[in-house]
Amino acid sequence: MTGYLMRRLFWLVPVLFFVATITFLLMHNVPGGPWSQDRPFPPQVEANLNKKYNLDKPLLQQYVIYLTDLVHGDFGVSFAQRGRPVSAIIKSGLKKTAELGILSFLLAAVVGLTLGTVAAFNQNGPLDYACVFFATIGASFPSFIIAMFLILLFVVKLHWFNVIGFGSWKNSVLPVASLAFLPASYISRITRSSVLEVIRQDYVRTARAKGLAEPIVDLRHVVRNSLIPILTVLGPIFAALVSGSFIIEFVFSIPGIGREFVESTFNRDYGVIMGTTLFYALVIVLANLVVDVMYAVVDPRIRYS
Amino acid sequence: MATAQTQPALSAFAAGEVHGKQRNLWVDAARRLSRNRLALFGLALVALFIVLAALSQTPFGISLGRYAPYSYQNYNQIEKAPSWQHFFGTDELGHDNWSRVLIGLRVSLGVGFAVAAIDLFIGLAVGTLAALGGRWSDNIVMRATDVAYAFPDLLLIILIQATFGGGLWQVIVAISLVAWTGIARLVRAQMLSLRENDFVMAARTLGASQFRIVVVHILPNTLGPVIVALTFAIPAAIFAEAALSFIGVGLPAPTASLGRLVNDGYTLVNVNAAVVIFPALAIGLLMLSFTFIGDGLRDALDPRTRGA
Repeated sequence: MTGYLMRRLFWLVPVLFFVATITFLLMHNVPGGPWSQDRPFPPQVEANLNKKYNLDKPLLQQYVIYLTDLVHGDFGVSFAQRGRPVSAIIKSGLKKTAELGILSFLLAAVVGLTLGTVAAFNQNGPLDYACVFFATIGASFPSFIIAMFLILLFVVKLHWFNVIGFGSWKNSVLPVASLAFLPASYISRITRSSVLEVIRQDYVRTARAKGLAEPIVDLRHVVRNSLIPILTVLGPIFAALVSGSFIIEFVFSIPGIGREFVESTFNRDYGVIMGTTLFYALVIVLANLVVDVMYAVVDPRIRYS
Repeated sequence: MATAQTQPALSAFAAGEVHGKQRNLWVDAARRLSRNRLALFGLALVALFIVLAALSQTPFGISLGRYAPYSYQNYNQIEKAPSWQHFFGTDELGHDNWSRVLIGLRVSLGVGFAVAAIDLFIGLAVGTLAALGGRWSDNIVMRATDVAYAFPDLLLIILIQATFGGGLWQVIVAISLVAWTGIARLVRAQMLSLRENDFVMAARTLGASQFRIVVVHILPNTLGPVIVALTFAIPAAIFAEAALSFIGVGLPAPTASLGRLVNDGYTLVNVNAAVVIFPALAIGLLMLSFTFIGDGLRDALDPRTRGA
């Protein structure tokens, strides 16, 4: 297991290297530069700025400089935000994005697991159909559409919440709910089919036959064993929540990492584009790694060597 | 004599001449699909959307759109609620929302189908190469999809699109370049497991060529899951385009894509909710119906769920 972990962690380095290289090439091919704006700088100023940030050097040399700095833990500075370090931008954005991501992840997991289990235990009953209906709606309406309808209902009609701001708990309700909708329905679908499969297993019948109380069979034998396929999707869902929240950040004007990324591509703010993309890649790869490790923890049949 | 009869039958089978009355997978699947009410509902809805999109603006006399989506502006009818003149109301510039939603449908459907077609092509080619091309090509392709996996999808699309510029085709190419990895992995996994199957060994024993084994025996058997994956790739592409247009980085300004319509109406949602609700519903229904079709196809094409 330790060897497996080490190998997987080592594999991170080439993946991030390629992500960095592709992003670097792509963003330098975007027409315009960090100084292109409605009112351009005088040519002398622009030349000096280019010189200060090494933008006058050949692309290959810039690339080597960037990677060297990166290895030393220096993510560079933002051009659009007057030389603010990229690491500081990521740090402040991460607070909002992580809060949003973790809260909606928890909400989605709780709602999804509950609905899926309830649906499976009432297969083909009215409760089952209600859960499946919710799951289908949730899976087909994108988060920003859900956000729109929530805003229409709770902000425009009922005046329960405000749309702008991210201070009190009241401001996080709508963004978290709209972000959690899709993963919640996804988790409930998988939970339902997984529980249905386990219910028919022989060991469940055995547990019942030896006279165990129904709640114990349900919880210990059915629900616990049906968690394995659900774990596999939790990793990608977490990664998608963190990296996909930028649309919700946009709708609710939340200053998270996603918004920094979108703005940085508009401004060709090279340092911020690189920093945020690498950060996202790290989150995604780590999330998948955690899932693979969780597999082995939950299912003793799986052994990595 | 039994052997005398089987011998020509066997060689006929090897040459692919025997088709006979075997139960065809596709006929079987179509029959099961036709019994799935949700899938039929999805198919009907998609068909309706296709007709609406196709006939929204035509060079002939009848256009379902009724008004020109871009040039028609009625300054006396601004931010109006739905009425007989304007089924879906009008926006802040006096555009007719109904004709704009229909054009948006056309854009969304176009993006969905085009991305699915490109993904199918790239995914089949790359997946086959990985599965049957030997260890080296497999390693390279799989590591490449590892890297592609590490990118956040929508953000990579934004980056690619910023590089290429912002036309309809650039958006389609950007989404396709990100979405093919799923299909490629699926094709590879399918082919690797099929290759070890007894019927492939039987075909090889009967002297079928490598090319014939791939084209006749392996490829058709990978198609079921691939088609299902494609049905889910269409709503994913529609979602990607809508999301990008919604935050203002998708299709350029005048194009009335559904995502952009939602975005345009969103700023004035307090004034006239109709402008937002209809394109938003259109996106939702579009994705919903493709999800129904995908679910139905998966159940119909997977023989293991037969009777379930």
